[in-house]
Amino acid sequence: MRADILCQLIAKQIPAEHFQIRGLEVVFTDPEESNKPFYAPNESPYNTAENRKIVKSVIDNYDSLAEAFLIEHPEYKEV
Amino acid sequence: MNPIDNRFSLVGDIFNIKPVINAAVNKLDLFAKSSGVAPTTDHPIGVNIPDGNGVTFRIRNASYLSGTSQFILNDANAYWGAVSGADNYKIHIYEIYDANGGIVHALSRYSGFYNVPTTTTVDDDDYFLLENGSSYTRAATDFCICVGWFWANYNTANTPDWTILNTANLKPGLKYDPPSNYGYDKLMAVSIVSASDIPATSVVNVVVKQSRWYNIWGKVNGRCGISPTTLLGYIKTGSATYGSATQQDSAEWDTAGNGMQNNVPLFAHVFLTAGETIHLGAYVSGAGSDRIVYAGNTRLKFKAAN
Repeated sequence: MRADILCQLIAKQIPAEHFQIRGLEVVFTDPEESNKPFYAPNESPYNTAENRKIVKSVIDNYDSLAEAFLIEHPEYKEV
Repeated sequence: MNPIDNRFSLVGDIFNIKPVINAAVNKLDLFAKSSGVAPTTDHPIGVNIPDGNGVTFRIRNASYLSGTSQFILNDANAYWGAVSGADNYKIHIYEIYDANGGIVHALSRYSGFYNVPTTTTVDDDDYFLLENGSSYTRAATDFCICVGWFWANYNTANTPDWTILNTANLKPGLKYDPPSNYGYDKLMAVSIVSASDIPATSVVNVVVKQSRWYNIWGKVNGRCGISPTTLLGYIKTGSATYGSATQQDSAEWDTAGNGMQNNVPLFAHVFLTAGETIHLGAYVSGAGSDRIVYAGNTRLKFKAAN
């Protein structure tokens, strides 16, 4: 699973600024992250049941979605 | 003048201490040089220990708080964040003067501590490993002084995992209060990939454990799929909150090339108080596709500047 492709696939359904891929994990962004200690827990308002369901669906169907994405975006084959 | 006073009348900062590698290669004994065994009344050890008002010469002539004068580097303990493999670690020997007037032996990864860190987490960078058997309770108000070092290798493929080295140039040594060697490299743990601009974020952070001047180097590595791309790096210090920390350096790279990956280098020289945080910050913007900060090449390095 490629993080860049996964990111683009999720961004089709969730606003791109509402999440990031950090390593192997999809992390919903916390707008206050820089305004609290680095060790404070993530309290993203975008970490909703609906968004988690979207992420799970994309990951579960990654292979077929990625295949279609690469046909649509051949430039990603070169990365 | 009693015999003890007479014995110490001509000594320096460290007296009669001899680190000896045990037959078991993960153990180091701290013996009296004159006897070749743990200190006794006839063969005491001594050290000048600061107490906030200069230094006072302290002696130990018996076991204290059940300490055996022996250090044991136990299996499956990555003390001080040691990474299993070929790297050798310089480990420092400390003498602690506790509130009840006794000397406790301890180890730490770094020189330059003068008060006892209280952490009991073995992989913390300021962890003090006490002599085996000691019932001493770490107290930040207790004073200590570094008196020597030895080198050791941590490799979980070996038995035991820790091997104290005794090669020609890596033998145990004694030196009173050597300059601090505190500081290390810290890599960004995982890459960040985003389909929108990555706002300025603390991507690597360290809480320093010694109050002193530091040299700080940073490198942020990133890219964006569609230009124009801006990659920014920051060194900020002070608050644990990135947005409140004080900016010490910044660097910027701009490109019109799609998908180009580059580094921005950073440097700062700053005094930090123990407990303050160093942040490496990163920001990536672009016109489209993925913005990425790469873990493999994004790192923070800090070193005591003494």
